[in-house]
Amino acid sequence: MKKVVAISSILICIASTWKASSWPSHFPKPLYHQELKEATAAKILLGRALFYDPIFSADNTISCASCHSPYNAFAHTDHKLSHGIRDSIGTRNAPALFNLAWQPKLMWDGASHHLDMQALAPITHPGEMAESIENILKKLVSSNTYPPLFQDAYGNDSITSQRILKALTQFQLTLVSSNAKYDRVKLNKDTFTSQEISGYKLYQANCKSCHAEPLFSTYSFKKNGLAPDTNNYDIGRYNVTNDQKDSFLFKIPSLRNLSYTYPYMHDGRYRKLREVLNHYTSIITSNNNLSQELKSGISLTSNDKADLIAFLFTLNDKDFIFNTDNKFPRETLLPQE
Amino acid sequence: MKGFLIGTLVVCSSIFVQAQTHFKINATYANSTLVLDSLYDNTYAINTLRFYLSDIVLIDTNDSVIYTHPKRHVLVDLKYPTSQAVHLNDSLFDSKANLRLQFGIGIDSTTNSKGAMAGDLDPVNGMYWTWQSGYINVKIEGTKQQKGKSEEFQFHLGGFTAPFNTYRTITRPYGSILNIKMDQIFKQMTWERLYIMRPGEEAVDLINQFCTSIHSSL
Repeated sequence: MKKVVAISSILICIASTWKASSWPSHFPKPLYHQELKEATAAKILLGRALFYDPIFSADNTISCASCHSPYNAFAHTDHKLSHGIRDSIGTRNAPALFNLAWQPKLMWDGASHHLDMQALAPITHPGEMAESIENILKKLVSSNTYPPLFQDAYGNDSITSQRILKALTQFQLTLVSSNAKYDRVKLNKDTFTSQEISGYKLYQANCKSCHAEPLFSTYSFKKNGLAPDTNNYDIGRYNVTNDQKDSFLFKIPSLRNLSYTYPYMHDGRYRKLREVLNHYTSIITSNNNLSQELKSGISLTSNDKADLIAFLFTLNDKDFIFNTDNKFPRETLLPQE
Repeated sequence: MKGFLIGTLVVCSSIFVQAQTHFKINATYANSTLVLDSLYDNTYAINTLRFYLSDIVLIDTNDSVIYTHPKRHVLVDLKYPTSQAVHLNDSLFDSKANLRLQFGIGIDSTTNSKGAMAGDLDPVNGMYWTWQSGYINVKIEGTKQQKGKSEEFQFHLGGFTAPFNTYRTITRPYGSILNIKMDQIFKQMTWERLYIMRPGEEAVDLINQFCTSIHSSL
C-alpha cells in the first residue's frame, strides 16, 4: 500500500513538473533552475489565478492580464502606451511575456533582474495598479478562493508576499513559445517556402546579431537609432544604471509572435512591421544614438522587406496564443458560473 | 548514576555554550541616544532610521572567525528597540581580548539577485525598491528646518552593482555598543539634495559617511 502511494506521488510529481521543464531541444538551457525544480501544477495554477485577478489593483479593476493579454502573446495591443488604473497612461508599451526563463533582466530598461521581484513594480506603481503588497495580503486572506489555493500549492494556507511572488513566477515560467513554423522547420517537421528562405537569409545577414536564434533576441540593451519620444523623453536604461553611456538603451525584444504584439518599439510608435523595417533602412549611421551593430547600415529593397516579413511570420506561434493552459482560469476564479 | 553524571554534564555544557551576550547598535546625536522625532540643533529631526546588518562575525587576534551569527541578514529599525540588540551565542569571546566585530551594512549583490524572500528580507518591510530591483540598505527620513520652513528629507541608500555598489563591510573593535553618530553624518553632508532615492554617486557618498560614523564603544 505504502509503495503504491509512493509511486503514485512520484507520478503526480512528474506530471506536474513536466510542463515547466519540457524545454524545446533547440533552445539553450534556461535560467531559474531552482524555480523550475520546485514547479508544481498547484503553484502554477495559483500563479495563473493571481495573474488574471484584478484583486492586485487598488480598485480591483486591473490585473496583470489587463496589459499582458494571452491573445497578444501577453503584450498590450491597440495602445501605443499601456494604461493602468483610472485610465492612467503609462510611458511604455507593455512588453510581451514569453520565454522569460531565458531573460536575465526584465522590462524595457532591465530595471528588474528577477521575475519574482518584477511584479512589485506594476503592483505599486501609482499609474498601473496603485496597490500595496500589505493590502493584497489582506484581500487574499479574506477571500474564499485563495486560502485553499495556497494550501494546495504550499502545504498550508499561510499567505505571504514571498508565496505570492513565487507563484506568479511559476505561472510566467510556463509561458514558453517554441512551436512556431520556424521551430517545426528546425526540428525537421516542416519546410520553409522559397520566399521564407529568402527572408531567413536576409534576417541572418541583417538582424541576427541582436535578434539571435532561437529566442530571436540576445536580451541585451541597445540603442536602435530611434529619435527620443517627444512626450516622455524616455532615457531607457540610463534611468536604472544612472550611467550616461546607457542613455536611450532599451532591451532587444524577441521577434517571435510579432503578428500578435503590435504596436512595436518600447513606446509603440510603429503599428506595422514595414514601418519598423523602414526605420532600420533609413537610420542615419553617423548618429551617435546608435549601437555598433547598426553603424554599417541596413539596406533592403521593397521585395527584400516583403521576404523578410514572410520569414518573420514563421515566428508566429499559434499554439502558444491559443494554449488553454495559459488562459483565464474560469473554473478557479469564477467557479459558480 | 552514570546517566545522572552525563545528564549533569550535558546540562552544564549547554548552559556554558548558551552563555549569551549581545551588542547593541545605537544611533546618537551629540553623544546622547537619538530619540526619533526629536529636534536637534534646532534643525534636524529623524523619524525613520532603518538598515540591514549582514554576515555578522567575530574575529580574534589571529584573524580567525570564532563566531558567525546564525541569521545572515538582520533588519534594524529604531522604531523597534529590540531590533537594535544583536544576540551573540558564544562562550568563547567573553574570555578573549581584542576581538573584532565584522559585519556588512546592507544586502550583498548575491542576495540581491535572488528571488522573493521572507522574514527580514520580505519586501513588505519597505526596504525593497519596487520600481527597480534591489534592497534599500539604509533608510534615513526626517525633516530639516530651513529658513523658517520645515522640509522633508528622504535618503534611501541602495544599489548593488558597480560603480554604485553601496554594500559595505566594516570591522570595529568588539564592544557591547556600536554608536552611529548621526550628528557626524549630518555635519559632513552638503545637504544639496534632500532626496536620494536611487543608486548613484550621492548614495555612495552618503553610505560611506554612514559607515565612518559607526563607532565602537568598548
